[in-house]
Amino acid sequence: MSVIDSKTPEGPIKEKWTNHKNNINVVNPSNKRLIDVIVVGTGLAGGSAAASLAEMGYNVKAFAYQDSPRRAHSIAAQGGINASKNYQNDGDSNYRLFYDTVKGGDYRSRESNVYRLAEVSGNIIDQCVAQGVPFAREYGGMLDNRSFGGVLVSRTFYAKGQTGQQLLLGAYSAMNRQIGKGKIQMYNRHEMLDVVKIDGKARGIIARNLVSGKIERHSAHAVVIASGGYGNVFFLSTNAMGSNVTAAWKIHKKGAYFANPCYT
Amino acid sequence: MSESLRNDGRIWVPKNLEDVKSIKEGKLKPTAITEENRDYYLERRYPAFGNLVPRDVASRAAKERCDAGYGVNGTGEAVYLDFKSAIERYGKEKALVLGNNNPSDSEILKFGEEVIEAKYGNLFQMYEKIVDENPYKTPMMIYPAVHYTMGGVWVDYNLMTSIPGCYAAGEANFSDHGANRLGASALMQGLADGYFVLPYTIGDYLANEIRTGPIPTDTPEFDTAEKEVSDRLNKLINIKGTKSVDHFHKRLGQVMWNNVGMARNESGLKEAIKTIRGIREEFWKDVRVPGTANGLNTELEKAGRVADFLELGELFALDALNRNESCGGHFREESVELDGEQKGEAKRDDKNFKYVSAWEWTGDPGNSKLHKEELEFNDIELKQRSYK
Repeated sequence: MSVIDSKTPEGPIKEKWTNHKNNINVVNPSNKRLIDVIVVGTGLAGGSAAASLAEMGYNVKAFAYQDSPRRAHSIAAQGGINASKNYQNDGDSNYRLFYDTVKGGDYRSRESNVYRLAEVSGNIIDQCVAQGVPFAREYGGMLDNRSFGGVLVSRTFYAKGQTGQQLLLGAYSAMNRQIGKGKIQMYNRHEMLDVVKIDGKARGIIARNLVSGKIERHSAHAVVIASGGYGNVFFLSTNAMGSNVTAAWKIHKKGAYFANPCYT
Repeated sequence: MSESLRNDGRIWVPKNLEDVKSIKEGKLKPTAITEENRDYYLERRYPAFGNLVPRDVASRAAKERCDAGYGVNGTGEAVYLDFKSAIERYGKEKALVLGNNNPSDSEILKFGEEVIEAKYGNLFQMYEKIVDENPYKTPMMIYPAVHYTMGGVWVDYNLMTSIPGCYAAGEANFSDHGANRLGASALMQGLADGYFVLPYTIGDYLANEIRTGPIPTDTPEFDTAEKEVSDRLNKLINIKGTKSVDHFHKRLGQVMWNNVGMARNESGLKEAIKTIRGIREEFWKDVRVPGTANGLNTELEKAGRVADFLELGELFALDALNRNESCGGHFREESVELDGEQKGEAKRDDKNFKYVSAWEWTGDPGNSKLHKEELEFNDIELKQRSYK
């Protein structure tokens, strides 16, 4: 047993993320063109990551086992998306969202990550509104909120009972723009079946074309796994029947630690 | 149904077991049970948060009532989610907005249902399609299900896993929700990772890759990985056993639900580890995957995924066994508050378990190696969670 390092930056929690962004290495635009990134999974996390990375200039290869990113299970999310915008003037703040999330998680999450999540939560709403996501609005045109479990304020933005679907359409549109520009190569109906390591670094994946059965090799300078959760280990769950742990489990078997599997 | 419904819905079961019995026999309708004979148990137990307690608490409370015999359908696993008071409240408001100061009961009902439909219409329609009951007129029957997994691939602050150059984002990683996720936070985290975190943090690593050049795929590492993948697929096809993939998946699911579900204990978890191991061994001897690997074969896809679940399931149970405390969605029957205001609630053990369990693969899920990331709380005081 060893103790592992989360590489959380030093400093007060409110400044960690800003300072970190100021201090990390940055790749200049002309060099981004020389770099390939593989993204496995094209739900909200994978789709938004692929779109953003391509927008920044990286060459992205995106993989989905579905017919289209539009079929990712994120689409089934009904309720809404939190953000500490305090539109209801009920005393919400980044700190309160941070506090509620840590408390709701029964004090078993990493403070620095959760604070960062609260910090960027408002940007997400702005980003999605700019993409045209039809969030519910009040009669006067302002974005509406509803309340959710575990908090005492109203900070949930929603689009009727189909928030996930509308957000996914936003991410998918952003992706599609990059597919059209040739910055994302989209591999639908491909399942990642292993990660390839060279000199200890992730350098590509082995994927199976689910239609032809052909095994393919894809290389990249970095690999992003955004393949969702493992609720289907219970056979019956609210996950789509195709949702699976395979991509995450393959990297686990190649050296990625798997954390807190018992938290469901 | 979506947790958003708890905004306006009130959750209850009958107060008297006789009423439960009559409902099950079809002799009594829930709408006929008077207010004083209803137990709004979330409002009773958690006056401050009421129906808006977090989902781990709400799920356990539903299970507690159902285990005590108050479940309201044939299986005994259902509680009511009732919109009647919301419909009345919204109906009155709407009538006033329309300048109708003395609305009749039927007008209130009509206006109220319109408001509810605007807010939750598609969810109500979904319910009616499945259950064939009109949820505007009679309470819905609901029961907790597995919905989201907070655990996942361990990542550092940059979202990089313990493999350099390999990142995990969204539900696939573990980082933000601790032992229980609040409603409407999954979409927030997925998009935060994808739009605003990973695009920055990945640059820190990639800045050292600008001179690497294109990576060839005709290297021994790719050869080996590809061979492993095809060998495994061929192995699955060639077992030619007698049982379907779903057969094994269902058995795994049953063990997980019974022993590693909403309430867990030492002997149940030990049994689960043993049983899952047995199912896995049987799977690799007796699964039947029809067809070939050279084309579309959905059974083969499923077989590969279930094989992975059969390994994960064991690690899952092992992790639950190791964490001898109750926290969030992980409830160990050995670790509950015995008395005081919080009697019966989950009891955390910060002295011994204030860490992230990060498991390293060793070739056998039952012998995975545990690494700990100690959690520090500098900005939030560590204390007993209370929604009372």
